[in-house]
Amino acid sequence: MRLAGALRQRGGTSPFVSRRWGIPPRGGSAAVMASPFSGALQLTDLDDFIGPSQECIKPVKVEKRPGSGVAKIRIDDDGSYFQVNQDGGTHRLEKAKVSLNDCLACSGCITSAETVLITQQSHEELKKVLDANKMVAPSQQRLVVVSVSPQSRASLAARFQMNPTDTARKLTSFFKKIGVHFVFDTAFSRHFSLLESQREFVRRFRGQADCRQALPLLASACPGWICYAEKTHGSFILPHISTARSPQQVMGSLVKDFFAQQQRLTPDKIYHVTVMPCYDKKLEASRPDFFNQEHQTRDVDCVLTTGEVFRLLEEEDVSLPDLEPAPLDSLCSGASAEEPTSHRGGGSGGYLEHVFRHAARELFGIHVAEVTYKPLRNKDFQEVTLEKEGQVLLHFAMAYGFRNIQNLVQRLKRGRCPYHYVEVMACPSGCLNGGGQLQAPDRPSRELLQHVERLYSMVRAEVPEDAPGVQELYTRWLQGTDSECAGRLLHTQYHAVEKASTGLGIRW
Amino acid sequence: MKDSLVLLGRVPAHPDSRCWFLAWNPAGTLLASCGGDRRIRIWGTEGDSWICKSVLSEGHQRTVRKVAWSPCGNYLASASFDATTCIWKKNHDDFECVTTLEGHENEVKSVAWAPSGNLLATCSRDKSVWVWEVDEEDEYECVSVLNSHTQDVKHVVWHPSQELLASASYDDTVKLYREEEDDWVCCATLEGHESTVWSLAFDPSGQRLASCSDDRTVRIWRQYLPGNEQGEGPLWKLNSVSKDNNGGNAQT
Repeated sequence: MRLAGALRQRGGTSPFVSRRWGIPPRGGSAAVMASPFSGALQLTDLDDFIGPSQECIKPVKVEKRPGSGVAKIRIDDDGSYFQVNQDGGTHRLEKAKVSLNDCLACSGCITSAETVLITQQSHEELKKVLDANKMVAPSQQRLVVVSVSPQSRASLAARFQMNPTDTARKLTSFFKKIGVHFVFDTAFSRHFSLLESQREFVRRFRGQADCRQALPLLASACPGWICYAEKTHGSFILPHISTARSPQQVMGSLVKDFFAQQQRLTPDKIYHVTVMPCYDKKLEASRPDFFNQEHQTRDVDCVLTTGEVFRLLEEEDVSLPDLEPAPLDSLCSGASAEEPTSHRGGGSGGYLEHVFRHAARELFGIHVAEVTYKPLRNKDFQEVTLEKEGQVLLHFAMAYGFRNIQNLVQRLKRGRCPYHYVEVMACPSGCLNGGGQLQAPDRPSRELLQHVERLYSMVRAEVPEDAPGVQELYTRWLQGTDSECAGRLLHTQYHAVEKASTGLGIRW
Repeated sequence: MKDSLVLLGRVPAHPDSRCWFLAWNPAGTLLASCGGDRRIRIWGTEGDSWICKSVLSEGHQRTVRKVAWSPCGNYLASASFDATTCIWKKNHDDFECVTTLEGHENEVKSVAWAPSGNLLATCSRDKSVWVWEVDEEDEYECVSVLNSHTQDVKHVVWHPSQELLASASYDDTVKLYREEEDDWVCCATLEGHESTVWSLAFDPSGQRLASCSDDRTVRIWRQYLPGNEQGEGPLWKLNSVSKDNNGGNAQT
């Protein structure tokens, strides 16, 4: 897949999240503002003044109690609010709370409070957990698991001038050195994400006659896209989005369900960290759908960006290339641990390519050796077609970046979307260009991205159906490919966000 | 004898509300007005008087802030506080809304057609500037979303002959954009104003750009092309600052 010229949207958060926070994304040319999370400097620039929730889109639901509308409010010395009714009775008023999840999904309330919320998911938190472990007996410790994404690994490989295998091994070595117990590769969980996406597409394609909203099917691995879709287009777009979980969240299921059982631990005894190329993945990890109510624990406790791992290395004063490589861990004995693996189809997971080739085979009995991409209006918008005897059987596209997503959504709304499947990603050039990836001030960003892409594609690609350990897990762990378990652990759902329109929002 | 303006007529344009903007069509025969009543009115002359030829009322849910005629005169774009921009096609005396450009998160403040006629720019309180492209079938697609400004963008205007876009913002700067490879980029930021920059205008030759601001100055910026005697690369530099009592709209 070719590069897009639009590299200026790198840095900090995805274009979606940046737009919501009103922070211009870091660019290749004159950087207007540093990453929002570069530390103390950024904190001092922020102030706590917020207008009365003009931009807050979280509808604060207040239970309406029957009775007269008139009441007095009393504030106690400790700051609690009490409503004093006309008959003299009082009741304590609940504080309106805005959680991390609400805050990150918000369209523009920027305060230092938000920064505080986000730093809860940071390398500082990981250090706290590791330090806490040092203070207690092994039986009281939390099992710390780190899952590294292939994109983050490629970014680190480029920075340290190492090949992907050495990078994987030395990262494993580093994490174990600081007290992490297991280090996994999310390429493994990606097998499941791809397989579920493939199956879902074929099912929907076959069921088109019964369901108008079946197609197009839109990829679901990108949380920046999901947040935008939930907030802006709500119930129209959501039925089109694949319910397959992203590799990060499949890993969450794998670690907190399968692996926990293996280790004979309850899920809350495991602290699961993922290393990802963007900040939006932090938002994904904190979705209520990925919170295990029974054990009061998240499937992914903490997301670190590639940049945060780099900072961790610096703070621990470790030079990654100088470490002794350690053997790679694997989730089940079936999976090989000699070298990292990957998937074909580009740096964002290969959804289009996998779904396309599988659909061609399953639906039409056609084997596609090489997928040919045709760039359209720009390099972040490309098409793929399957034709036979002049007839178009399958028409797929990849749409990366906000402007292309805009056009896609508008076409969909007008009923003029010709595609059966679209791989949608928020960042121009895809995940390898994510906002949390490492930058090199002394290198042109295009050149760096090309280097990262080369390192990414060096890794041996596996076919999910044949990958060791996958079928075994479908049988052992999930009790079958279309089981209730598989549905629960490998799929998710989406929720349209209602815009609370307030008169306070008017500004000329 | 001094030149002076003579009032030819007065029309009540937008009942009980503000009239926000006026635009002459390229032929100079029609005047489009828009206002707080969410309507657009097209005015023309009949003999000596000005009459309202058309009322476009089904387009917007909130105030229409700006209207702009396409260079060919057959289309009218209207930017509204309802976050949309409508494109109206002229058919004799009637106007039909052919499409609505959506995407901005809140109030659209300005819309402008490029001289070529197939590009359109909009800007909004959501701090972004959008560039749209229209094809032969009147299909509009977003070509770029530019997030360079850090505050509300008040005005966008195109260079008369180059494919260069300028925007003015509440962040006190003027930004210039052009197409590079397959995307639009901010190629220059003009700093100097000490308050909101409300409006911009290029002179007909395109060599100078005037900006006016809440800081009560009008600034003229000049383009220095590569190889000029100043030895500068291609860029825009401040040419002069004039103090004006009102700092109102700049039209050259």
